[in-house]
Amino acid sequence: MIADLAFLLLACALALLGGVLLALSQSRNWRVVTGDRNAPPKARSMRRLGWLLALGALAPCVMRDGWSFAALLWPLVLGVAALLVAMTLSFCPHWMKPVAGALSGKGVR
Amino acid sequence: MSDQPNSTFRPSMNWVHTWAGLLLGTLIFTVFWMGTLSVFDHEIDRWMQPSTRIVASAAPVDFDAMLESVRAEFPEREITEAGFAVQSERAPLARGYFAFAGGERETWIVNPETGERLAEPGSLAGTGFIYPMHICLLLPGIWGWWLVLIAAIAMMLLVVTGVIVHRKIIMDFFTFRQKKKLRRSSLDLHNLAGTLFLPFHFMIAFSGVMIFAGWYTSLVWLTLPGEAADRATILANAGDDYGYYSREAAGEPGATVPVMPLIARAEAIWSERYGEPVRADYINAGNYGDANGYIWMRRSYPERQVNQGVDTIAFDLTNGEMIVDFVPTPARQVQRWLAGLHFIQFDHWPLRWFYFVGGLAGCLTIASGFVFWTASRRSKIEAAQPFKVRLIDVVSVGSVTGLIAATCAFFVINRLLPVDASWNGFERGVLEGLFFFLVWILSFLHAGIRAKSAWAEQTFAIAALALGAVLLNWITTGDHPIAAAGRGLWSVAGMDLVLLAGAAIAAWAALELRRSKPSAERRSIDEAETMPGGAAE
Repeated sequence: MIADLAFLLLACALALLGGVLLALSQSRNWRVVTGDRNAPPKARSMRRLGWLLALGALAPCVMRDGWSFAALLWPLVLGVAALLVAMTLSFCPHWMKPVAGALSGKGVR
Repeated sequence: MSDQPNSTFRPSMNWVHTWAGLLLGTLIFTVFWMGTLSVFDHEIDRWMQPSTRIVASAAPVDFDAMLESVRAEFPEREITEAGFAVQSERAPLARGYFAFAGGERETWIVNPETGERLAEPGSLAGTGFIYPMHICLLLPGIWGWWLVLIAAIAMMLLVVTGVIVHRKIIMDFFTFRQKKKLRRSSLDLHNLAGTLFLPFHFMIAFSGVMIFAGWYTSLVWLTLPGEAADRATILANAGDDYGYYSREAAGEPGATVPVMPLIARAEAIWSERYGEPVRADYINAGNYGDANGYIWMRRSYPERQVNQGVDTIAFDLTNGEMIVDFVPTPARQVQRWLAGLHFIQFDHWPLRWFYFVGGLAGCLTIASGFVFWTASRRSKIEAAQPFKVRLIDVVSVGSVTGLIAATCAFFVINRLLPVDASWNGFERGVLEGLFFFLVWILSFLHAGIRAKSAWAEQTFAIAALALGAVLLNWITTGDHPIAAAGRGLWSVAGMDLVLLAGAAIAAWAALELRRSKPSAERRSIDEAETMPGGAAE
């Protein structure tokens, strides 16, 4: 039961973090969050890491329920996580400032 | 896919996407919306049938005693068929369905905890109205099934053409500019919800087709003249693959052995086979009292399995001898996985909720597609073709907000009608359904009269009706969300909370719609956005 919950939360966390990285790797979202008109630093690495984390979310899904359920759970976890990221960008983009700060190496502003 | 400037591929895909969406949007939205609600069909049952609000109990129900009670209640009738549904976590009542020689039918509902019989709950609710609406639109005969098949195929077509049409903006899939004009924000929502849940939407539409693939091909045979139209054989063959069993009545009376020992035997066989306690889930006694009497039963769905394929066992009802022990074959597993993922009978609450969100996202994709179409073309064609714009307004408003408002009104009327309500020979449950359709029809009329304000006004109505349903549930049953949760009735509390959240979102959306009413869009449409593929900034 606890393991089930832990795997589910881990999958959601990986998907969310991946979504945040993918979103911030796009210039417009980077600008919305940081106000910085330049392209995000290391956009390419951010994109790669973002996809990697999204892919990585599959692992806890499989470990939780096996492939049969994971094939259903994983795409939906990614979708819901990305939806949350999109809504955060739209309504409270400043929530992502800490992540952007950490990525640009300037700390939280 | 060609990217040549003079390529006709994307414009033609755009044409397909637009027209399939406009012509079939109503149908697809109805099927998607009702399917989304069907994710929680049993929970809706508990909410709409307050007499059935009990917490599931594992206490076995004695179906032989139930048969005795039925015979005692109707001594002059002869039972010809009996079906028994064992209670489960989501459907906590045991049910018996009885057919009699004279064609009468009776349903027997028993509380497994106390063994007492419950009165007819007086509402078709989730499993009796919303789910049938999803699978066949409540239409008589086979027409509803065909329309739902068309909806599923159209959904797949729209998903694929949508990827091609909106290819460039799909790369922007985190974008929702809610402060921008309606044309912009609705297109953002369309792409956002459509892209993020694309795999889910495709799988749901595809599995919907595949579930009934065998069935639909049977329908094709049935429509053909001549030798192919041997109805019974065709349908029996379709059923064989799923482990159903039935046989013709002999027309001569026969003995009937008690049902419960046979259920126990089947459960023992399954439990030994799978090394864990397995219970029978549904039992059907056919040709009851006939020399060819049989009893067929299906095991409950395993908790941790998507695949719908489950074992079935049939016995001879006259002497208790086993006729069939059906084990689903591995060759069918893919089809059974597809069926299982669509029927979601498995026990996986997080996934059930994710399905609900994915379903809502599908509804949002279709609805925002409608809004985008009208918002982007209104200023351009309104002067030239006012009737066309008006017609599409009426259809899209009625199909989207009208359907949702009618669903909320269905919940409201459920809490307002007296328990024994009937009118013109219609029972309470049917009256609720009629009220649903009345409100839905009125929503189209309202859209015709109020034109540009209709979106916002009906969205306000949704908010009010959803909130009203929660309050009425509290007033009439006392089960406000906290009280319901305290009694362990998470189905009721959950539905209330979803209604409250829906009311809040609808109220917000109504305010936004009022702010950016399509009429307020003065900027003339630019060509880049008429052609959605070119709309990327």
